[in-house]
Amino acid sequence: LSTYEEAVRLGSPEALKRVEAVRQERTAQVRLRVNAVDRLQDSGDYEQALRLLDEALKLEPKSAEVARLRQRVLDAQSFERGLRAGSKQ
Amino acid sequence: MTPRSRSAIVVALAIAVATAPAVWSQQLAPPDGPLTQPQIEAALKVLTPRRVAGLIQKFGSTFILDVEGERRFRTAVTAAGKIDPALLEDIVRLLAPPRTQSPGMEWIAPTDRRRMVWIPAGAFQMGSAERESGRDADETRHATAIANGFWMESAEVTNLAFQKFVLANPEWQKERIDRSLHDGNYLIDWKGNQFPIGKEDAPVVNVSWYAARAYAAWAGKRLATEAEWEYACRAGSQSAYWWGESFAAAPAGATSMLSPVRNPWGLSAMLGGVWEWTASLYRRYPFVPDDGRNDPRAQGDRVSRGASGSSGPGMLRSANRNAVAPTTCSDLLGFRCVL
Repeated sequence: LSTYEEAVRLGSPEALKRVEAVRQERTAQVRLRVNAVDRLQDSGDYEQALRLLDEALKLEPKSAEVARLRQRVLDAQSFERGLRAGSKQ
Repeated sequence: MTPRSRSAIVVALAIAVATAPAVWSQQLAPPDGPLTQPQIEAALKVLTPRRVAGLIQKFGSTFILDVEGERRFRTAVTAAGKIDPALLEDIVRLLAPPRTQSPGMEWIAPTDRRRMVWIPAGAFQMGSAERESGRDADETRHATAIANGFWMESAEVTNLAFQKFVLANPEWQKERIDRSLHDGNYLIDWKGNQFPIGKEDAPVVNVSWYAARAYAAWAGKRLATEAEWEYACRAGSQSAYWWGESFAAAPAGATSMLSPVRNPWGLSAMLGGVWEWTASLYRRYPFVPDDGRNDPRAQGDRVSRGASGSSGPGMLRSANRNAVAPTTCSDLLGFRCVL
């Protein structure tokens, strides 16, 4: 991407198009993972949810939405661990 | 019975029946994992509503919401944050019986996950017709009203369900039960907390009235009164049996243990299976619900109903009554609960 950004900086319309396409693809990939996390939370598969969110953060490291969602999943995972640990007492 | 043993019964019932759910609610979770109301309300703040519903379905709950409880639960959940109204309804449906009922409607109780069917309010002729073959003198027919509809378990309580109860309530395990609460034969067919192999779905037997009542309270339910029991058994019929006047006309297998045959209101083995404890003292008719016969603290024999699969046609009639000492444990005597 940085190569393309450099190309854009130099004023190449073709490179601009490619950068935009990459950005859209990246956003779609993040959205795909975020949507999957909803279903994984419903089934209690927090490990997989966190894996997908880590991938999403690699794609969009500055995404506040993904970071918030990741924290929610961690909270849910921690809550359920406490719940089940309590039930074994 | 000595005054001392009588007071022991009262104390044991007070502990086991009245306070057990309250004790659990102070812990994070009871031993076998069903969820308390505080846990569910807390979970709804952290987990997705679908996940909470899944956990309730998987682990059950320690309580059933009554009308007031349901109102408070809705208020607490909606005050805690945004929740999709449809998902809230899904969760309420798991914890509270439907408030709009129709005859035959079914619901699974979250406490012991046993199927219940709706028995509508109504009136019926309790007792038997004078010409009914096999009738006894204590069955004088009289008009009786069932003022409120109720939920009744579609089948007798099973060994598996009762095992969950004794595991969650050690004071009702056969090695620990108070001697005043049974006749020495309590769960005599079990080895410790284990029912006979392969009999998980068979009705639990060898349980005293006290134990049956304690189970019902643990599950958030109660035993049926004698009138409720006969009304539900008859399912609108006035004949000797719910299927008609002739015992020979019974649907195939109707009175056998684990019979899949249901009466018109969706109840199986009401006649047959095993005898069933009711809440009522054995007293003369007419059945007057508020004359003290349904007082759980009163002393005296309790009524059992429905006879067993090995009983004869006279015993198996809808109106037949049996007086049994509340400590009795018999291999032909079990129970089912209502709500």
